[in-house]
Amino acid sequence: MGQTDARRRLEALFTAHHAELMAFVRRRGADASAEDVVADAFIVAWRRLDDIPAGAERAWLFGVARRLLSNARRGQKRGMKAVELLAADARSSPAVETGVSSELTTALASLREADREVLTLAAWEELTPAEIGVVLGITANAAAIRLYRARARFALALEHGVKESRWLRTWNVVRGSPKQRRETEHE
Amino acid sequence: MNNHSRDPIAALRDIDPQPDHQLSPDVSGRLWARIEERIVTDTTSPASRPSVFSPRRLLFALSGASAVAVAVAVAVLVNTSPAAPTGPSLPLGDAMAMCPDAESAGTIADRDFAFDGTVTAIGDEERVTFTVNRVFVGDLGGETTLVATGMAAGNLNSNGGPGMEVGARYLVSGDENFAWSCGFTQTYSDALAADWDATAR
Repeated sequence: MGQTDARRRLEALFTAHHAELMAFVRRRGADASAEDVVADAFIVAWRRLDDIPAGAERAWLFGVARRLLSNARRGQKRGMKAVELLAADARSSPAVETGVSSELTTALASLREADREVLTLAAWEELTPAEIGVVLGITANAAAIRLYRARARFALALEHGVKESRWLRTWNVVRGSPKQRRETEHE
Repeated sequence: MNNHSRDPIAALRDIDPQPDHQLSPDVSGRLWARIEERIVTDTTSPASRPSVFSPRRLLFALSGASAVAVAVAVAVLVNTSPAAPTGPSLPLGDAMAMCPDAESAGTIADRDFAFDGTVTAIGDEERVTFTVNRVFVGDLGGETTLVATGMAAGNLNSNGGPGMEVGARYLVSGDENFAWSCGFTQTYSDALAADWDATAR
């Protein structure tokens, strides 16, 4: 790809996705540094234009921004005391970030981070399981299964309240392992 | 509407902290200017690399090609390892990191169901209907429909699972109503079926 074509492609990517990418980064609690992260994501895109999967450009950019955020948080956390780490994690929870006190935010905040992430990618970013797979670096199949289970756990948290849902954080606690269930059924 | 009776994904949209994606032209312009400033001086993009012939570069490229060949061979092995007869009963190494519940996937004996089935229909959202030929794990009737995300869309498959086709026979395992990829669903072979039978006992 020549310099002119590459630049045109980057411009097209920027025009199509920069606003959504900014929202994605802000949703993850990086309001002050959102522009830095988005700019860095497009620089990564510029360097790796040939690697961007056709049809999954938006998800690919989200995946890059997610890794940049993750690296930045790791950098910030080095040298922090345990209490500061916990506070930083609490602030980075999307549900806490909203500042909206409601049944929904409480239920969302009660889930483990991996569940929150897959649910918010589906709900706020409106990504398909295949696109979620691109963002998280997992297969579409794994993303679909994670989303299905996270939905179930979120529905449980809404239905039964957060206190109970904390007991039910892992799916195996909710449903038992297949082997355990078979053994129970045969008892 | 009560939050309990709503689709959780739809309900979550009500608490989207950034419901409006629009940015002011000022912000967009400032952002693009920052990016443009950096790409002008960037020498690491594919577009910036010179294409002038150099014997030294050729040698480097050839050694790189050897490395690529090895990497491709490894990738092929990883991608095809699910088709190896021992797939579901042995860990799949690093490839499992991309798979469902990588930390606790176990074997087909840990799945809700495992069976030998022939595809009779592929519907929307990769819903695949199978005639069940033989059950290894779980309780299944003569026919079952599962979601086989990444394995039934007719596109090139990179899920460590087969690209399913109507009329073809597979060994299928998974949880809930999902067929799992990553070695937990594979193209049928007698050897693999015997392996699944032994693993499920």
